[in-house]
Amino acid sequence: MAFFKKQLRWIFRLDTGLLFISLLLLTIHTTRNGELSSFLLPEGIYQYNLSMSFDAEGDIGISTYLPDNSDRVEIIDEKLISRDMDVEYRIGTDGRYAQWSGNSVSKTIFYRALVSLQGVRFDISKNLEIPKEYADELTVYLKETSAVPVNHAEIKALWAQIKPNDTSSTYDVLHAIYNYSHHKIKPLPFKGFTDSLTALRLGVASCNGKSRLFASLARLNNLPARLVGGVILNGEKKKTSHQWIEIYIEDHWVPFDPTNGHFASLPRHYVGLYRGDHSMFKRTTNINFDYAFNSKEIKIAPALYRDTATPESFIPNAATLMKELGLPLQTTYIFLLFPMCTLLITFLRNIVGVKTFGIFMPMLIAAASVYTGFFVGLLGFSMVLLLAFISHAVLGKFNILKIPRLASIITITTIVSLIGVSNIAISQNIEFGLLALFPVVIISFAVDRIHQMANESNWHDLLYSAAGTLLTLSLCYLVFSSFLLQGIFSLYPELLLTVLALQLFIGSWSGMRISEIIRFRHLMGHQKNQVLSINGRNRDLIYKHNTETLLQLATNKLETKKCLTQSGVPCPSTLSSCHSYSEVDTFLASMSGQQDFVIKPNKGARGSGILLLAEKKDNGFLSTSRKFWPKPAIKQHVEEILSGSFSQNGDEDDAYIEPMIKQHQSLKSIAPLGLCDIRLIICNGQLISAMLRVPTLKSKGKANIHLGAIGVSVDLETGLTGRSLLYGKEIQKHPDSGKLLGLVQLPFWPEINDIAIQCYISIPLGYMGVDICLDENVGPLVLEVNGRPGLEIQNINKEGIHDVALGAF
Amino acid sequence: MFRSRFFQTGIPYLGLALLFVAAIIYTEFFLERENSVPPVIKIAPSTDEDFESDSDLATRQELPNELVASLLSQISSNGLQIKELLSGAEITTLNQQERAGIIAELAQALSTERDFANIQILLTGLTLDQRLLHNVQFTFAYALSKTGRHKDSIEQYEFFTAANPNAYSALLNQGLLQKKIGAHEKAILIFSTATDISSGFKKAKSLAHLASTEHTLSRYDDAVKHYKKSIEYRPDSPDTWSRLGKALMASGEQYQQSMSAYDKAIALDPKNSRLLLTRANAQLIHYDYVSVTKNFKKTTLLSKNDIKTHRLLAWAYLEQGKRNNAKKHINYLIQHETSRLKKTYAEFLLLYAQEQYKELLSRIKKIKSKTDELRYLKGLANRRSGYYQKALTIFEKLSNSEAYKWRSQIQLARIKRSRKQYQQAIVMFQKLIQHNNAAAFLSFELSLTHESLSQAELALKAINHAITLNDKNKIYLLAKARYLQLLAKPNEAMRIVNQLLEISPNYTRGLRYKATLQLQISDPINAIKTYEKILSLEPSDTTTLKLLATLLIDRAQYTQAQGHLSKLLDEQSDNLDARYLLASAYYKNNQFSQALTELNNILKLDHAHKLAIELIKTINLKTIN
Repeated sequence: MAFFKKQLRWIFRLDTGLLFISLLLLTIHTTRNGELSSFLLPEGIYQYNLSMSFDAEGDIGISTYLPDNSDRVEIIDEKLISRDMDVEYRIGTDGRYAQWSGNSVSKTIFYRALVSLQGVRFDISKNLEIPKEYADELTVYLKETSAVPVNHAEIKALWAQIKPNDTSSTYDVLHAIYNYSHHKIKPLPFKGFTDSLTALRLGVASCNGKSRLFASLARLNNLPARLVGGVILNGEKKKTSHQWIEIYIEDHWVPFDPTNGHFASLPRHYVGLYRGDHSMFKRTTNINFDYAFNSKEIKIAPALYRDTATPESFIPNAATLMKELGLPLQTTYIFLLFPMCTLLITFLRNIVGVKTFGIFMPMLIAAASVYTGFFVGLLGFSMVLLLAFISHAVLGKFNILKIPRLASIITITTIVSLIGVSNIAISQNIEFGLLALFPVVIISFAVDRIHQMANESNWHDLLYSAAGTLLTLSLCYLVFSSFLLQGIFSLYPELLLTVLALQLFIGSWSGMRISEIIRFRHLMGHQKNQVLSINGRNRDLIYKHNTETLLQLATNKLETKKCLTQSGVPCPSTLSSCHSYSEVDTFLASMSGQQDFVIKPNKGARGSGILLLAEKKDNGFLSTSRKFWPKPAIKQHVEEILSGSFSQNGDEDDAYIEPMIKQHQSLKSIAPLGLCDIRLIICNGQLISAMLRVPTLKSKGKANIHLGAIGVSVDLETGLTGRSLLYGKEIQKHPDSGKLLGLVQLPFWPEINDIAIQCYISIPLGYMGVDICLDENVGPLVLEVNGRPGLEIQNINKEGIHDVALGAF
Repeated sequence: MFRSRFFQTGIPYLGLALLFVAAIIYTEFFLERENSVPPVIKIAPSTDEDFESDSDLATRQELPNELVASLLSQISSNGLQIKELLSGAEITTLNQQERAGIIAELAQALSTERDFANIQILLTGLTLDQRLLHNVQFTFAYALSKTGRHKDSIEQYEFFTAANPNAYSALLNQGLLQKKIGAHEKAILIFSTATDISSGFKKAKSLAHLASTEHTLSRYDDAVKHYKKSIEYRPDSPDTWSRLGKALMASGEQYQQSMSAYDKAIALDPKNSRLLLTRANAQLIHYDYVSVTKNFKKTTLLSKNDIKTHRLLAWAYLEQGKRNNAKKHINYLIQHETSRLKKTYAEFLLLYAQEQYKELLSRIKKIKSKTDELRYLKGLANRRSGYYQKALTIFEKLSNSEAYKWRSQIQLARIKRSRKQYQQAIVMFQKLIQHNNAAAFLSFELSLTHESLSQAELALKAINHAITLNDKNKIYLLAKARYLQLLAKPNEAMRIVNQLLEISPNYTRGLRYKATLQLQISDPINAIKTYEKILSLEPSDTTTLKLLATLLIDRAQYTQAQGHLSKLLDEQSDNLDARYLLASAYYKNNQFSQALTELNNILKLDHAHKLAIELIKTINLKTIN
């Protein structure tokens, strides 16, 4: 019965329901439109670029051939940039012709087309005889011209030499011509025009000479032949076009390339531009004309640009819908794959435990890299990051406040990026996607966190996050580049529901991340007291038992203190507080009567923003680490606090002053610098774990373990200290004082326990941490209550708290 | 315990994710490889010319003797002519028997090089007996056929088969040559003999040739029988399947049967654009226009850009009345047709798509020799222009055309319906449906014809058939609702209309019909809602505005009615009925001055408008009292 109940619960879960709907839709979709899968087969898509430039004023005329739809070529998208010039198109039997006229200030013309090309191979039967007659319209391809002589004695003599036995066989004749023009005429890259006779007499020729000789011999044998001019798209930037030949055989124009050795076939990357004996460019003379072709191969699923609609279409193709909105192809598939990337990021963060700078920043960088290429994108990202980091550091020196500083960083990076992009665009003739600029903003925000890590010398986290960012970015790029995923999400948009279901599943999964398996590896073998994971803590304890109101109360230290004091819980007194910029001067004035005190942000976390001032000196104070803080610097620090620089959620904050707590004698000898505190974990009013946090020089007197403080286990029964860990390594003695850290009896232990429970009664968070310090004069004082206490305490005590924490409810 | 803890970690999920990634990478690799091979287009003479080469040649492994080798090298290196060679000392010094042997061997050597011109010169010099003796009679006949001397070749093959009655290759070649010179009956006899003496693949080949010849002679049943027999021996020949399809079509078999033969041909060679085109052509001939357009969505880019494909698609769309889709393909034809005449034909198609029938007819008139395609187009233009008699004559003449017979029959049936010769039209539509019962549009047209004769029961039966073929077609569903209403089944009609509106909730014709039905079943409240929905879709729909206003006036909702009528008059200020209705609404709502203003406006447009005059009198009486 219980088993069936469990299964039923699964069925009625939101994610399972969505998954079911998605798969049902997919099944109906594939059943009704089964043949759609053919739209996933990638086609050879090439980006063909032609740039032309000239250097002259006045009445300029330039014309050239552009790709046109044909048996092998399909234009998917094209763009023309020819500022100030008029352009006219003409489509004829020779090809598609564009003619620019007028004057142009920019003196450049760019043409870019996304073309789908297909290779072709003809299998000509050996029994196919050469026809005696052709239709009238083909006779033009049998005539002789000055460049393609047919009845010339030398051409005839050549044919007499090379002709096959069966001159009536189309295959044999073409084979003989091909063999001669390919093997006997040596290739030489002549730049100019070569007619058939010149090619024959010299025995060497470029593509146009070889093709004309081929045409002469073919026409001599009553085979209609025409020259074809085009470009070989091999990813290079170049100025050379190419010519080959086409022979009319049984309703087909069959290609032959005697230069590169293609008999009755043509590879995919040949794009034909014109048919007949023409020149590629025509232009006004003396204009210093220059041009270049370049190309890039893109693997893409036809589902993204081909019309897949059928009368039975069940769910429309997402790319077609977006095309109707006018979105370019690349933007379309990036947009379609955003959910998949977010799923990937969710997986990496919540299941693997990868940390990144900014949650979705790697995805946006990867999206921008689709326009620029991965390595260029990565380089751009690093450059922008470096620039932002330097700007952050430099502006920090000028004591610029956080928000204006971030704004300035964005402006600086944008200016520098724009200069870079425009330079690239001019020199490389490529267009930069607008999206490439977008991550600048994100990076600028991320840099604040990076800078904070660097300031704290938290290099481990910095490197870990950098590696995580790089990994996530690379994987997101792979997702964006996957033609299969592009096609699948376009053809079957119902799969987005599957993605949503998986995201919800991850959101409801409270298992242990892979990074946590490494972090808590020493606890993994334990048969009892399982390790509490971050997902488990959040889902099973915090979301379930900590109300939002109480969490907000715990974040607000002043309010917490007020609440605790009312319940008789001892807390450090508040000397003064500051809630707005207008109160800053009064607030600073209140310090004048103090010798040593602490300035704290009201909603700070992880010890950030806390300023420990130990001694008055000249017009300022010396901090506990003996750094001099002049009054203006202190004022700026207070303003930073008010602006929310150290606030957990980035909102505006309050600052307050507490008296400097004097370390209790029993701990003073162990930790000469800073203030130790005792972290107690309480679940549903039960104490379940405790540790002592001992500051070091490395942690700059702060008791935060991730900053380099020592974690010391504490026996809940006796208050006796046990094993100590510094950066995950077990130590026996304090690195600064050399004192033994183990077997120290914490004073006031029963009182500490009572105070902790009293905290729970005042602020009844189901799962909470209470930080208590020991003052020399007044004994235990509650520093703060934490609604989301960390999990490192398990490593310190070498014992998981999963079972005991959940068992408390 | 350990297992359950393991499944509570991210490891199994990471494993699954890695498997997913591996599957994606593998599939991409596989798909990429699959698509990197270019399509191969075969260019070969038709199978009628599929001559057998001399099978004996393959078995001759012996090297030529020294003299033959020397003669061969003289021919290839010195360009020695055969006649010079025959008169040279090396040959003339030989005795007659040796000479014949050397010439025969030389001919055999040349046949491997396919030098047929020289072979026939060489072997003409030998007697029949010598050629038979030295096994070169077949070579001689073959060389004659390859050099275009078909009749001589037949004669030599006959000599050969007289001496070797079981020589399959000779018989087959002989049959092909007979067919080539138009002696079909003889060809049939020879192919029959070849079939009798052969087995397996060879039998399949001769049976296919036999069937092909029978098809040429319009003996379609025999052709079908022999193609089927051929397929029994060679089921993997796409060409034979395709030809069987064609023969089945010609024999008057049901369309679906012949189509299944075409489908098999394509299943065997899916990338063969010629086969796809053949099937599409058959589909067009047999008015399966939807399949033509549907099938080309699946074909390769290569065939999509083929001129013939565009021509077929243009016609298929024109026949479906999808003129804009047709124009796309016609423009392609205009741009890419190399022949001037074909380009002109494409321009004619464009004129037809643009409904410029007069211009089209005047241009067709200038063309002297007309193809069947042009005649059909002319017939269509005449029918569209209302010149039924001219159209009738053209379509009747086309009844003999294999390509246009069926489509002409449809046009004839349509003309009969337009001329109210409903019974004749019904018979014709029924015949057409019997031939291809997947043509839903014909069942629909049949139902319309029945409706014209008030045969609602029969109309319903016909439309039900159309709906079984295409249950999403709005027009069919609406027609069905109409027939049900005629049969006094308004509730069933309402169910169909609701079904239709589920498919297309914003289909105004359907909504309008729904409102009519609602009024019929005395549900004016919902009728008003339906009319309001129509107006939310088409706010200026004057018919609906008027109907709704009338309904509202009947229900004494004058203010709303006035609003709708004012809107209507914004669109049609000269609509006297609407203006009178508005005046009535004002009158009934006791807004006499507004009513008088509207009535005076009516009289400005029509000073003798009786109803307006009477209402003015009534109002005047009321206001005086």
